[in-house]
Amino acid sequence: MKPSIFDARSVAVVGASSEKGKVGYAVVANLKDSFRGRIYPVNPKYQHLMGFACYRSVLDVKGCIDLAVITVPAKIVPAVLSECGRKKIRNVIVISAGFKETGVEGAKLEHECAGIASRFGMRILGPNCLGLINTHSGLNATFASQTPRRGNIAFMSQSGALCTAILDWAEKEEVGFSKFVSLGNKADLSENDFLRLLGSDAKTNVILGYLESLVDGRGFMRLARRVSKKKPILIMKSGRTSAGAKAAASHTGALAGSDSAFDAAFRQAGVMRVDSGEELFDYAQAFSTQPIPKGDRVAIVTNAGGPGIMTTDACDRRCLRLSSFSQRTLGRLRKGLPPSANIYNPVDALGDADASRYALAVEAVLADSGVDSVICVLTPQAMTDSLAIAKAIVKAARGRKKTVLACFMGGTDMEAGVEHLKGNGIPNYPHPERAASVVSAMVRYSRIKRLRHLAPPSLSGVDRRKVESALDGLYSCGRVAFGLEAFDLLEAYGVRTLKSALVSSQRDALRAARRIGFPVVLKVASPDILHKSDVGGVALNVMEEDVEASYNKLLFNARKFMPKARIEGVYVQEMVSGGKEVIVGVTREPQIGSMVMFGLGGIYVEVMKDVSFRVAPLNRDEVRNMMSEVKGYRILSGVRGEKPSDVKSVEDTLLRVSRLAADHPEILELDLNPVTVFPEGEGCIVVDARMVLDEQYNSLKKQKRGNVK
Amino acid sequence: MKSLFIGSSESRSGKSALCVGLGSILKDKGLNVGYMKPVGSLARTVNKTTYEDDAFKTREALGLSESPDKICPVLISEELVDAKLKGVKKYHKNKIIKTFQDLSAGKDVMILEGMGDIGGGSMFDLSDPEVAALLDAKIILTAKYDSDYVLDRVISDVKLIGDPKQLVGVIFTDVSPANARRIKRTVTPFLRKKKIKVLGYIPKDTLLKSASVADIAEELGGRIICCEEYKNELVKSFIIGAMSPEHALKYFRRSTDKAVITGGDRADIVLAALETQTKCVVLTGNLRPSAQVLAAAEDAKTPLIVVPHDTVTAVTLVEDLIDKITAWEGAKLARMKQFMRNHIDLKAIYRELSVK
Repeated sequence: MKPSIFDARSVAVVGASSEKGKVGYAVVANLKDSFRGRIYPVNPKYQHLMGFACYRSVLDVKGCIDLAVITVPAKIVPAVLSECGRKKIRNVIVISAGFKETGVEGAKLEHECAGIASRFGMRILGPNCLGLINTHSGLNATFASQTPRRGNIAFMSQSGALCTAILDWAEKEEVGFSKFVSLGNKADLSENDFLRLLGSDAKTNVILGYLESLVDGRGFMRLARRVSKKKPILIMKSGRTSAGAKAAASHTGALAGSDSAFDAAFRQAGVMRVDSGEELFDYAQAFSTQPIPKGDRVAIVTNAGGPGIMTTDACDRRCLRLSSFSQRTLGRLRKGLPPSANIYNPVDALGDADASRYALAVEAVLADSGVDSVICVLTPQAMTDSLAIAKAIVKAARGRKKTVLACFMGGTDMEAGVEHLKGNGIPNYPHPERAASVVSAMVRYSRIKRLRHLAPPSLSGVDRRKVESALDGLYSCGRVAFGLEAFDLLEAYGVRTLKSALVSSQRDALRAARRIGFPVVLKVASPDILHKSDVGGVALNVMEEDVEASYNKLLFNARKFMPKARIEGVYVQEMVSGGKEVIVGVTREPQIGSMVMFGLGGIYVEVMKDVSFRVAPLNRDEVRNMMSEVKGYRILSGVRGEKPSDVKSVEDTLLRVSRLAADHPEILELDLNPVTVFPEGEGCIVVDARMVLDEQYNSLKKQKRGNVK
Repeated sequence: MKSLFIGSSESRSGKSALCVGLGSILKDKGLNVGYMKPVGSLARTVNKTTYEDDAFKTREALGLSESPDKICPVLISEELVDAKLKGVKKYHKNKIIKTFQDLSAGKDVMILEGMGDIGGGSMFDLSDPEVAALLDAKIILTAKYDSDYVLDRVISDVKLIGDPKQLVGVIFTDVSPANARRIKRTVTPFLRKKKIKVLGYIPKDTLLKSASVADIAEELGGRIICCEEYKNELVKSFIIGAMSPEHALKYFRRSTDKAVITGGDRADIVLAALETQTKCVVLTGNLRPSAQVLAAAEDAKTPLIVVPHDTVTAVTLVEDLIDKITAWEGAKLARMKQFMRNHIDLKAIYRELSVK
């Protein structure tokens, strides 16, 4: 494999300085501290700097340079980059600020830099970043005040400030890192490049990230899907709430997109999303030190009843199962523990438990094949020797390929024990909630690891060409919002839609209604009226003799309530009765791409927000998961004696709609609301549709043609 | 020298657009074309000169050099109305005739524009037919085809003109494709029976009604704070950005070539707008966005305009602007001329002017 930015053996620091407090000083000092390769300070002001020869320009350096770190003011960065390019330096870190984050001029400067880099085939990290660290080669190309200890956790962050905060915290908690990357403005290298590097990095067992936006969500998903099979990826993606999204928008200049889209994308790609820094590092410590549990069965060993129950509750809340011990295990516990001890899970070794009792209990439960992980709870009692008990737990856990976590509750009395646990790779959490949350995350990861991602199935009766020419036709109308025109596209992908005709006179309405069969539904057709029933634009159950009156009434209502709406005529449709209503939607999310939405229908859908999302195209497993995720899903399987609905046909519709969305990204939005689902064996039918197409269609089309090549 | 008077049934029916289009077509034929708006109302003062706003723009579009205050000699104001009501004598007619003589000297054709609706100015005996008669000009009547009831107005306006020989014909404006068919097949024969000639129509068109980004900035007294090089892009509609960000995208996607009007602190809305096809974003409340948002706008090549108004005021002003046809830059003028050549009986007009 080609050496990466982490493998640099010679580093130039452009803008090196001898003045303490300057970035150019800190970078050289950090390198000098631990880097074993060559260091070339560059600054025309000096001839020597911190014991190194100092150069006027990178071009004056005789040897080859693998990596340049640039700390000069933003304005001269392009000139320096050109020199780096001519020197054939492959990787550059631009620490300097004053780019996109400062406004229009900075953005132009950043574009210029990216242009220079691509001309020379150079890769840039930053600008406006802290730099990066490879603890194993001693490369600390940052201006951070600390160098982290070695470990197997890699961290990348879109926020430089968070980087320094974490370095400081890690120092106190004695957490080690393998690689450390501050992404900055992501003018060139982004989370995707580092996900790829860290995914194949033998020194990294866990990848952590703090992200505010994704440069290429699709690429991220593709990579993450692969990497997450090898090692856990934990991402803290901020901007979860709408206030947070607004703050992120202002801070990064990137539209956050809907949070549920990120949730879905991460889940489908096997990325574990965490909500807080505490969670991030709680998880990271366990993943970096403990084996992944094989299942969700937890044993709890405690010296007090209350905390034991709290831990049990916490596990149950997170869908973990409490192990039932085998007869053999129960026998060992019964024999080794005092008669008043509880030998069933949670095992209570009583308040006077010493190291030998913990050793016995932990060993016994670990030996039980019905146990996948153990949480050892300890509370300070009069005779508790936390260090001795910690030693006993460490000893018992050694050699067992099972997850062991500690929950030593307390403060000073626990310090010695906690210290010993940490030093021996058993993470300790001060509260049962946190320990349970960690176990549950590890169980989730064990499932991610096992999960085989199947390609979307091939579908019969899909006519891609037909949709393409239908879309061409729609574009020539000169607008982007459509209604039942979407039916043609759906039919071409094998989705059943309502029989329907657009008419512009009473006579034609009657003719169409006779063809479709009575009773019919009449609906006003207008691109400007979104909720037709709100303006009296829908007439149900219309019989032959009512067609004329209903037709006139609809037009009258539409003109009265929405006088400015463009009215294209009236739809005559077959009347569907019975069945349950669901909604299926497509929306293209910035940064991620086309998403499919599923939910139960009806007028309360906007209030309940009981919907689920997935990134298109979907495979059958994903379709089933997204359907069962909806709380009201059980209604479809029939409650209180109702016949079950035809769930299979809904699955099929979701598969087909997801394929339609993936094949034709010019569909920005598609709302199929409602889709009526009939009892088992009778299928489902799309009753109404709305669609918005992307106006930048042509550029997308070109892009698509490019991909085909 | 011949004169044509362009009057209309109602204000905002596209008189100025017709003046510019017709004037420009006549100029292309090598004629020396003059323009005058004898009676106007929308006064505006720049550098101590008061002049009529619309007339000023039409004069610019026709590339005329006469000073703007000359183009429109009588500006009706509250003061003038008050004086009239109190019986103060003013010599408006003399002023109009004098100005007309000055402006028409050396011209082949004079195009005269009416005030608002055809009866406007009657208080001063300066309604469109009266002024046209005064200057010996024939009248072209324009009317916005909003429904068939426009014919009520047209027929009563023709009665107001009185002498049928004074009318060249009627031009319908803002005509939808369905109404265009109706005009050709049904309306023209109907009016012919009433001895009213239909000269043609101008189709409904979003380009004609668009305003440039620079126009919007000027109308709102705002500053374009980035991408000024795109200030000549045309805006055809606008959307108010006051919704939650996830809804914003849904709305913004539904319309193209739009201006988005929102508070300067709504970074989320601005970014959603930049994600969709947006010609400019109007930031109200004099609030500048963060540097990052500015950079994103730069990336999207979309101008941001900071304006002092609140959102409601800004919306009203932009609404007015987009409803009017103003700012005659290249694409719009070309479109107007193309429409006139395709849908208007220019030969009939040439005959009136005795040009070939």
